[in-house]
Amino acid sequence: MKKRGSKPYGVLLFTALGAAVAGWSAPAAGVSSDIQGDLRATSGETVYFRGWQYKPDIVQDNTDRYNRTQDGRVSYQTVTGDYPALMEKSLIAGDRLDVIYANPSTAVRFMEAGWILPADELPGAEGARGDMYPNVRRAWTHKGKLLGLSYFLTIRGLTTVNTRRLGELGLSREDYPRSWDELYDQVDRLTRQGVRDVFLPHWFNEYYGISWAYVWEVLNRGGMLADPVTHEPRMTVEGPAGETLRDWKRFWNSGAIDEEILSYTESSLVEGFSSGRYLYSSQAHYNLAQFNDPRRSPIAGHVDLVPFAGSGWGLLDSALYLTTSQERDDELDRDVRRFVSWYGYRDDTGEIAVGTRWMETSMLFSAYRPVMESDAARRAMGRFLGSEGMVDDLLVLYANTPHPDGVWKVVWSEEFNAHLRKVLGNFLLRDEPVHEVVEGLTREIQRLNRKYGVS
Amino acid sequence: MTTRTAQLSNLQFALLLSLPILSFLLLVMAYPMGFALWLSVHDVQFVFGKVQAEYAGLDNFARVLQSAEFWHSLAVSLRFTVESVVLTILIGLGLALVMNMETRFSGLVRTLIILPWAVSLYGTGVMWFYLARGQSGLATSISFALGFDRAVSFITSRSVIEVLALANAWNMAPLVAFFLLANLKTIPERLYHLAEIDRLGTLETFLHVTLPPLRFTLFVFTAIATVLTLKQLDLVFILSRGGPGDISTATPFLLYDVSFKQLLLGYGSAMSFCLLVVIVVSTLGLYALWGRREEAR
Repeated sequence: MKKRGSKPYGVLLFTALGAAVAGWSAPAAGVSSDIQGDLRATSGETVYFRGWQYKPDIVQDNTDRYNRTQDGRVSYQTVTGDYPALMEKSLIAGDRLDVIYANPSTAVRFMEAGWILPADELPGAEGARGDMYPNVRRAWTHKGKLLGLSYFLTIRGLTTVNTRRLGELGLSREDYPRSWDELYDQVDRLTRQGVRDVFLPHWFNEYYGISWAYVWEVLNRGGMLADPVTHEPRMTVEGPAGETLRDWKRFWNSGAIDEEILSYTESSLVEGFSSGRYLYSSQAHYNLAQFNDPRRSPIAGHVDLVPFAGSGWGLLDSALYLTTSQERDDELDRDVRRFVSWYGYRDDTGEIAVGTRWMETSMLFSAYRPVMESDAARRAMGRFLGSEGMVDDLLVLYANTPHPDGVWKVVWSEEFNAHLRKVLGNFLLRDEPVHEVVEGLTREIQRLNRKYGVS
Repeated sequence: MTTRTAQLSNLQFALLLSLPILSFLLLVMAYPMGFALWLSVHDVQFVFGKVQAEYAGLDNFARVLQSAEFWHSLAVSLRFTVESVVLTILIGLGLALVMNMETRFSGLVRTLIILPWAVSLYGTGVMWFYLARGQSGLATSISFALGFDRAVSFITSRSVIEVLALANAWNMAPLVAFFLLANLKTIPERLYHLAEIDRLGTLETFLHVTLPPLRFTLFVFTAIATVLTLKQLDLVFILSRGGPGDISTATPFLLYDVSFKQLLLGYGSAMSFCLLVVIVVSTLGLYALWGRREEAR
């Protein structure tokens, strides 16, 4: 059995994140203690803060603290539904929005449209840049400008293991798959032996469900959907794009999975694995906190992750706080910038309080080194993951998790993602040929490049 | 000096009375309809809220009519609509008959029956999603209670449209029921006494005494339910998001996807007019086959 190490988390995370994603730059300068000045609101006007529905009680509490301590009038509400499409519609319609959540792909699109201000213009921006891990800063920089401030970082698509079920099947950690190919082979073998519910894939029906699962599998197999610089399509039937589809079809046609997965939400996926039925599942890393919580999961303490063994699992998923560029009077505009800075970086006491709270309560990683290298982060990770070895595995995985620049750092990202989601569902249900799907996706990327004059 | 007073004709008077509502309708409908028509005959590039358009004649309409996804969505819409309307009318009629029975609990029964109508389509979608899916659904609970270890899901390619239709009917049927109840209350009690004297059975009494006064209301609600279901987006969006795959992608959901996700506004607008034609033809067909006969009675 593999011996789990116990390296100091902060150093390992620093090394891991510093080296992650392709083409990593040298680590940034030391932790900045840049103070962004007085963050107290002065306009007396309302600042509109909108985001998707994730733990709104915590967000509301953070917002209330800002309002209470900084005389703010921030109104926070959640947006339910297809978040990127709804936010784009609101921005086009000129709805009052000052601060919003976004994934990097959405942020790139919004910046190209001129709807958001670069975070470089916020109070304390230099400090925020300096505190960010270089790989994340790179992922969040578009055309030399920082898209926003850190909300969270996670690996989406890591493979979780129900170790209780593993033991029942007479398997051990030595049997963990080392690549997607091996995972599907094992699923195939166990299914043929009559074992049910071997793998719960990330094929749910959200914009970050099945389509992202395809993107990361292609990346993890060493391929790409589009060139990260020119954004020209790079898929081939014989390469990773086709291999992934062939494996999916094999898995689907084996009858090893319910069709229902294609209608799941993320919470369905989390509940599914928490139930203890499945051996493996693709999940976001922060869900490990729920899986190991005895109040919410009957398999708490029996959840592990498949470590990196030469082939990555998943992609680097992240979200930012964006500041819109809507017209505001100067006083209100200053309030908006103060609030974003307070919320997305350091508060009035100089602490990265919101980022730290997400780490401590929900195991959402932060882009800021002071958060991730703190004692509080170590304690939180240990508490959520249950073992030191698992923390090490997670951090090594971070170091090897790609960011899909080719299809995310481009203006058409959202449109392509919507198309991909539909195509993949039909590919499985209608048993469409692999070459038709690959060729269709290639044509779609070419069409979008022409539409937006990309490359 | 003589004073001349002009008397308005009936038509002029009617137009005068209708003027405010006609102006309002013109205001709220003419612009969007006109803009949609303009979009439908242009090749529109909608980039960041800015529209770049080139005249395309009827190309978008031709593309819609040649599109497999449109015909698939229309087939889904028609199946969803037929099932929804039949269920809505049958459940509504059943509920009306239950409410028409005077018991000690009539007030409570009526209150309970109207509740589903007060639930938003969003709430309806969420609730039925949880009821129908395998993880938390009713059938799964029953399956486990009976000692089986398999979850039972209805969110599948075989049954998702039926789940949508049932949820839709659950939401709409109470309204139908209350209108039918109002009709039922107008049926003179003596007709039922006469039916008893004539020794009519329960079914015969229902067919010859109860049903005839309800027929026009049933026609009206069939038409309303047809229109509402053909343009139903909310429930599909919340309950199944058009899936699995595109199995439950009804035309309004496809329109949303094409127009707001893929930003193909010209194509989407042309598709919306095709849907409008389907709605108009459906209601005219209903009127020709059923409504005209009811009016003539």
